[in-house]
Amino acid sequence: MVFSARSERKITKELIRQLVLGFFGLLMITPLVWMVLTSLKTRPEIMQYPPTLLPNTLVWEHYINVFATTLISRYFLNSLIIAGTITVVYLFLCSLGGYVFVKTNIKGRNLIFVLIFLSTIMPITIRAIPLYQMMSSWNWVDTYQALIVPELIGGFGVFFMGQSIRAVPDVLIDAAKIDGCSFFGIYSRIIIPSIKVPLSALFVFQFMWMWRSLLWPVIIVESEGMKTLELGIATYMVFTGGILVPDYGPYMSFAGISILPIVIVFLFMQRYFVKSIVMTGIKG
Amino acid sequence: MLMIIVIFIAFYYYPIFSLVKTSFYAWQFSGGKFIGFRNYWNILTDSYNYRVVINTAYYVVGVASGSVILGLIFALIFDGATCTKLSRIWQTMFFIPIVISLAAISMVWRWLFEPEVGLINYALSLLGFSKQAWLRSTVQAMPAIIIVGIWQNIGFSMIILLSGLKAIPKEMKESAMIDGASSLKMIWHIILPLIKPVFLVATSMSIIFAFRTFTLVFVMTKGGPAGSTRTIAYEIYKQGFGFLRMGYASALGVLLFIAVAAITLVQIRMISKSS
Repeated sequence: MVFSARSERKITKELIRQLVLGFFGLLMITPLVWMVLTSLKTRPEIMQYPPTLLPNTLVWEHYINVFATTLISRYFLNSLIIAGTITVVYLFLCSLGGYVFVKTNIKGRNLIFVLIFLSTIMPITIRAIPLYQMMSSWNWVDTYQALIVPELIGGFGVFFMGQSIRAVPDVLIDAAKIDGCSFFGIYSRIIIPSIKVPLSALFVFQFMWMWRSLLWPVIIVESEGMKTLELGIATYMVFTGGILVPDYGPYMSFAGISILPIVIVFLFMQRYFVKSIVMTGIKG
Repeated sequence: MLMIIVIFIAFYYYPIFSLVKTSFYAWQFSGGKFIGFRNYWNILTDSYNYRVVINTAYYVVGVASGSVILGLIFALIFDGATCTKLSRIWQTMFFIPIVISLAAISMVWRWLFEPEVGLINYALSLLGFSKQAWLRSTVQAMPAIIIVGIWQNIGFSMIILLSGLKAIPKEMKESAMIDGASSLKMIWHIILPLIKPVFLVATSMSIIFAFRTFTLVFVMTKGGPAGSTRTIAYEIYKQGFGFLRMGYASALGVLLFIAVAAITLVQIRMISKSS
């Protein structure tokens, strides 16, 4: 086959592109790869310099160590319960709120809308101190409620749902009203099915955000059994001889256990994740 | 409906008012004395305290500009790529940092930056550079954290920018090429203006996320060495719950609130202008 000069140039251009992208792509995941490799090496080998690439001897001791000496499965369960509960309720409340704003005409709607919108600039970082004082006066410190309730609804979610619900044709809603459908009936039978995609986008977004939250948990959690996974690794203290150098083997396996399941889930649900982030970014 | 309002007021608005009120007190835990603006004065005049503001600005500017600019560069490269199957693989690699646990990967980065045996210094030594102190040095610690921040956020900016680029009709790009415009000129004059709104969204979201950064500092440096990496979110935690100086921490919180509010306002202004 004969390639014209033009298409030859195109091919080389593409080749360079792919090489550049590939190089940086691999660079991006280097930390993850290094984490896994380190977690399988023996302690002396980890501290070797120049470092070895692949483990000379494959050891599982760090993983066993982590499972034996920490409550990592409990942390994982906690994170799941907390992030899961928050996200489900969040979706419910935000979609309800969005529906009310976009499709109904309650008095004072606009004022409330502004108030809700303003709450987007009140992230938990800023609310943390007063919230802690509230929690301690209710005896909620170190409880599930304290971790869940402050994040059950947010301006962003309401706004995002509102935008998505706006696209639902009014005719459908009017028809349902004529048929005698109640408020909740319309909500569950018409609105929710119509916004399945943005709904799942918000689910992914909020779940991810809650899973990784650290500031609030580190403030409100006091006992080991209540820690989230994120908090667990942030407060994991294990050192070799001296105090300055952490014992990296166990750290890497702890990190690995926290990260790898999510990475695997991500690889399977990529398109989903990506769509979610784009959607929430653009509408936000 | 009423329930929603109650929740908002209870958990959003009341805390804000309480925060502002507390910021005017020297508040320990259960009571304190009213000291007016002294907390704010302390923050803005004492150079050790003021450092927090500088650090935060340093971090925000570094990460936001780094991740958006690099995100744009990579988005442009991805947009022009024709071999989509391969591109998908690299794209996935760019996206992975966004979804993983921050605390866990911060630990990994701390390991990478280890001065004596870390991988980064090893790579540098292969290129002929000497080992750097990174997280142990008051000058290099912040740049190290900024690098991690950029690494985490590139994917996010990139997805948004890429979707903006993909929205540009192919014909526009093709006609520009036929007209003989060189790629750089084409990018500058045609593509960039077209993705302005998306660019603004990506930038402001990066900025706002960067202001809230806590995990990185907590896991990697705990604000050190010598307080050179304290960002405002970390400082709020340290002062309020470490030293129990809640009034002072509240004042920091109010400042953060003002900063975020200002940026959001600017964002709204700019978006409504361009649409």
